[in-house]
Amino acid sequence: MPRSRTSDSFKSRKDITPVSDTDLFFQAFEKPTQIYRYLKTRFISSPLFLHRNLSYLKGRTTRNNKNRSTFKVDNILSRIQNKDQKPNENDNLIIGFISFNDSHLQTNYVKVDTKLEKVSYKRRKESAMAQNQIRIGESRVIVNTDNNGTDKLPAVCVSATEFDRLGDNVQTTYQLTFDIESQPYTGGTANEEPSNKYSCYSKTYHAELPVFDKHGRNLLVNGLYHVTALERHAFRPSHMLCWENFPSEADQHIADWAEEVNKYYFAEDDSNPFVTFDKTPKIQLYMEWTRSKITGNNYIPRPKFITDQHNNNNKENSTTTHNGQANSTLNGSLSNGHDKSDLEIVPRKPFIFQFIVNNSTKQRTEERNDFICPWCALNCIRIYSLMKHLKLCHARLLFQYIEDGNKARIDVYINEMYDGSYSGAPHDVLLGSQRQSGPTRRNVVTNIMVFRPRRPSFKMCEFQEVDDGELEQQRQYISGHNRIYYHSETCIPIMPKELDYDSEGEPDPKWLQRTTKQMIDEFTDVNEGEKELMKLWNLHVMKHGFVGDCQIALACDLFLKEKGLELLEKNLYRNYIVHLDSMFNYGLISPQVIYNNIRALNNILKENPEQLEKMKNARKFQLSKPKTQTKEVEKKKPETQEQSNRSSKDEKPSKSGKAENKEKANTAKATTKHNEMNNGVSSNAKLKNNLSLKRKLSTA
Amino acid sequence: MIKIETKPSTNNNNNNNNNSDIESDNDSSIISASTGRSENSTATNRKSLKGKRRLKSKTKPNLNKQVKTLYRFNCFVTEDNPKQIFAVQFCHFLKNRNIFATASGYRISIFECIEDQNENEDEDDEEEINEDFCGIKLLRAYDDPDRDEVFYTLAWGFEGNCPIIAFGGVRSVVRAIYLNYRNLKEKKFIGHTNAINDMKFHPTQPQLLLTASKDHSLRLWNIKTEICVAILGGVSGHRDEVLSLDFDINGRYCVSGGMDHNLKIWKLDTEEMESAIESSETFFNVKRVRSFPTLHVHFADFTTRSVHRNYVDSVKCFGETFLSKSCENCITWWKVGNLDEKFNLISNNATTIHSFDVDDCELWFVRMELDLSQRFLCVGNSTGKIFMFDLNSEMPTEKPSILSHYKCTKPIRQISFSRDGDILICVCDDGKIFKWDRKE
Repeated sequence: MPRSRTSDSFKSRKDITPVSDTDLFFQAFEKPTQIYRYLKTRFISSPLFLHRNLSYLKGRTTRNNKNRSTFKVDNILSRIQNKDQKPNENDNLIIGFISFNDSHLQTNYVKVDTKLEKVSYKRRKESAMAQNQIRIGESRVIVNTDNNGTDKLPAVCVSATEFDRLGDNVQTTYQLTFDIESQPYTGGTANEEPSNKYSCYSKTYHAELPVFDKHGRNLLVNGLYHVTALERHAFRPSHMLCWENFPSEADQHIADWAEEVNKYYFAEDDSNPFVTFDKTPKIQLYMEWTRSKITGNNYIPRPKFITDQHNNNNKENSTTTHNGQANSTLNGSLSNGHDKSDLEIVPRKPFIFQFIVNNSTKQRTEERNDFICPWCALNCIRIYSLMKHLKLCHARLLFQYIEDGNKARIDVYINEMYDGSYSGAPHDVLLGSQRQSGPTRRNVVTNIMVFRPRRPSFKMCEFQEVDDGELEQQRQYISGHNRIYYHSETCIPIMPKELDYDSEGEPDPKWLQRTTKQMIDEFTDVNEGEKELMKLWNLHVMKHGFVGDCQIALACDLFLKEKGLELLEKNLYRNYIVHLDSMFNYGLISPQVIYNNIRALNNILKENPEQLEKMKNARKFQLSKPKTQTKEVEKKKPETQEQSNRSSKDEKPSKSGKAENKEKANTAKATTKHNEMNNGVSSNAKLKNNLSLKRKLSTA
Repeated sequence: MIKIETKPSTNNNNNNNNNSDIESDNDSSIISASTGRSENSTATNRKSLKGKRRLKSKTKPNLNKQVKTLYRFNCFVTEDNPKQIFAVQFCHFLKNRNIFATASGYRISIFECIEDQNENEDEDDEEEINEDFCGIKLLRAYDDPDRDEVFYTLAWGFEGNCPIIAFGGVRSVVRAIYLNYRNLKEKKFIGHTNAINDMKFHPTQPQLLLTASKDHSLRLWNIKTEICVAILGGVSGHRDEVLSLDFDINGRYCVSGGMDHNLKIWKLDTEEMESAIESSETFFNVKRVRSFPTLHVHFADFTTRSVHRNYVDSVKCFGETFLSKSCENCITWWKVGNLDEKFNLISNNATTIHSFDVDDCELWFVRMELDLSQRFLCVGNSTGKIFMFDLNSEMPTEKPSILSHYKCTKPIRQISFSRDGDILICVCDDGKIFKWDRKE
């Protein structure tokens, strides 16, 4: 639509530009226009935001919150019922006369005689039309102004019985005719004295308004009507349409009449029908279908919107109430005290769009008075809103507002710097697979928690300079957030919703536990008891992620709390003591810690007497065995703790700690103890998770 | 992303539009005896041959003695821009139509095998049709916008009544296109960090797709809910590219082979896996605050390195035994455990039952194929011959029948059988698609 509009306007340009220039122009502006036309349609089908919520488009809010305080839920039903009340067959038609307009007329009042005309079409003989008129009433109507200072309107009522449509099967049209007589009105209360200055001749006008067509369809809705009235001698009944052929000389007078009408009313070569409409005499009516009848003596209360509307009556060619209502509220909000501070009231100036390509080619549109965006047909109501809208919503183009006396001009350039790159969430690009037909909501990457910038006052001067197309203020809100993150394990993109949850929170996944155990089991140079303790201890350290020497004491406490019972069940009491001992030897823990740990362990033992019993039995069993019995590797569970210690000792006599080398050849008891130390050393080495350290120790 | 390139065209102008080179002589079923080991095709190998390959001169079956083939050459077509065709798959879910798809370069083409309907057609140029008739008709082609993409593999699935074609390649994105929709409906699955080498749909749960990738892992996807259900690989997974995979016919386990010479069997009926699959069904995209807890299976249930000494580029489940192929001039038939053991995954060793010898098959990334009834086992070689073993015959292990055509000289990457086994399609490195028909 915008394109056709512009192209239309170029045809009528007086400066005939070379074809190449026009081509250049089309080339330059075609793409953005196409894009914005597409976006317009898309916006209609699924809007991203509402224009009326924009601060610079406040005028578009057509409702206010006045009714909120008095709102009741029950009112909704009655309101809807009122709205739904369509004129049905039992309704009376009330006609209120607002005014009669004819600039040539000098009187103050006219007499309007309202009649209802029935025209019946018989099926057989269409030519013979039964016609009868019913007189409805007579009213006194004010001329050339619609504000008579009172709240009453002269009115007549056509009762429902007159529209006797269900009677027979003849097709009947109903139309209202208004005979308007401008002779000085003499009767009545208003004692108007006809001014003698003006020639006091009488004029009669005639106006028609169809109510039901011949198929019985209601043509009138509630609202305000402007009905053209023509002078009696110039009027032809509308059921004889004037573009009939004039077959004979007899009808010559009809042709004369048409000519005369044209000469009289359409004298100007302006073919704008609205202008013509403005100039012809017309009568303003208010129509309402209602159940009730007029109660007073042919007066009805003046409908509210008419009073508000009189300001721009001459401009607006509104024919229905809806337009009138919209206008009234618009004006209302314009004059709101709240808005007044922000708004620089710019007088309505006609303006043109001037398209500039390469700083030379200029194409202009016709002068316009409406503030409708040519690309998206959005009525911006004010020039400021229009400019702001153009600037923000049509960033592919640059706009500059230039005021020139009584007229204004908007220069349109192509924005060479337009950055069409995608600036939203990268998820939409990467995971566009859910995309169905039509636009969908974007993935949100940022949350605006509080954002209330100082609004600049709305001044037209911000459009007076053409900027170079850098949208500096728009980008910074999302900078740094338009990147995509991936789960480290699955390499699947992290959706914005998932960002809060740490999927990598587990330091000891099951597979790692399993692998650790497997690897410890594969050692050949430690006994079973040691392996068990190493597994327990290493998994414990892995789970809690102890990293420093200073944390060892804490690790020991925690270890006993969590694994103490398991330790005893596996009969690793002594292994643990040795482990503590070796840690002490390496200076990792203080004697205090050892003391506390052993106490804690003993406490657990006390609380679980069965464990104590178990340990005693194991000890007895070990002591009862000959010391020289076991030489081979025992693949037993660690109940035989001392035995396995021994076996380990026997097999690997060289694997001893640095301080214990001299004790090697001592007594059996000493050897056991020494061995325990040895176990501890190896455990400690595993604590560091460092096999090589252990090997180093053993070779030392 | 992908546009439909070619609309289905009519029989008559099909040949001119889509297929530049058509050979159609129904009677030229040529069975040429192999004249010994010929040079490896040096033309367009995807990856160079591995140096470690064992060149063992085996006693070849006596190929001079002809074996009667069961298939007869029908026709061949050449793709528009001849590229290596790495994959061909028949859609086995359609009863009445023989539709297959090929993956070549950045293009997935869908063809239909059509019958010569001379007697039914009452057109004027009936005779010409007979001459120009080609049994392969292009239905659609999907191009990836990225011209560097090379699709290595594709698989057919379905969801409801809609056939799905899934494919993947160099760019490590698994794509699935729903073919019944008027508009392009595609899903993509991001997660693999390197090229996709193979993929298959689960035999009993059609929403599950298993993919094998160069990133040393396999992934199980739920196509319906777009979830990565599980990752098979890690601590005791493959140590190099996974090249091939196959499901057990009941979907209880899957077997994978890779460049690390390993064959691994992964159980899919474990408690963890079943619950993961189950929860993936009800885990919807919209509501998720956390991502789906993808199951990591680090430990294969069975691993063997003893079957092959080179890349394992094709593997098939065959009952409770397995057929696998490396670039060692043979297809190996093996089972888990000793010969007399029942199938279990506890044992550590694998026993080779038999080796099917194939000539000139040292090129890797060549897939063997079994038809649906598991009667014919066939594999192409690097000189364009198809070796077919009839497993139903009395001595299936003796000698293969060889299908060859004088125009078919380049390595055959994959072969596919139609649902009823009547049609065999093989694809070559020079972009040719050959159609062979079953003899009556």
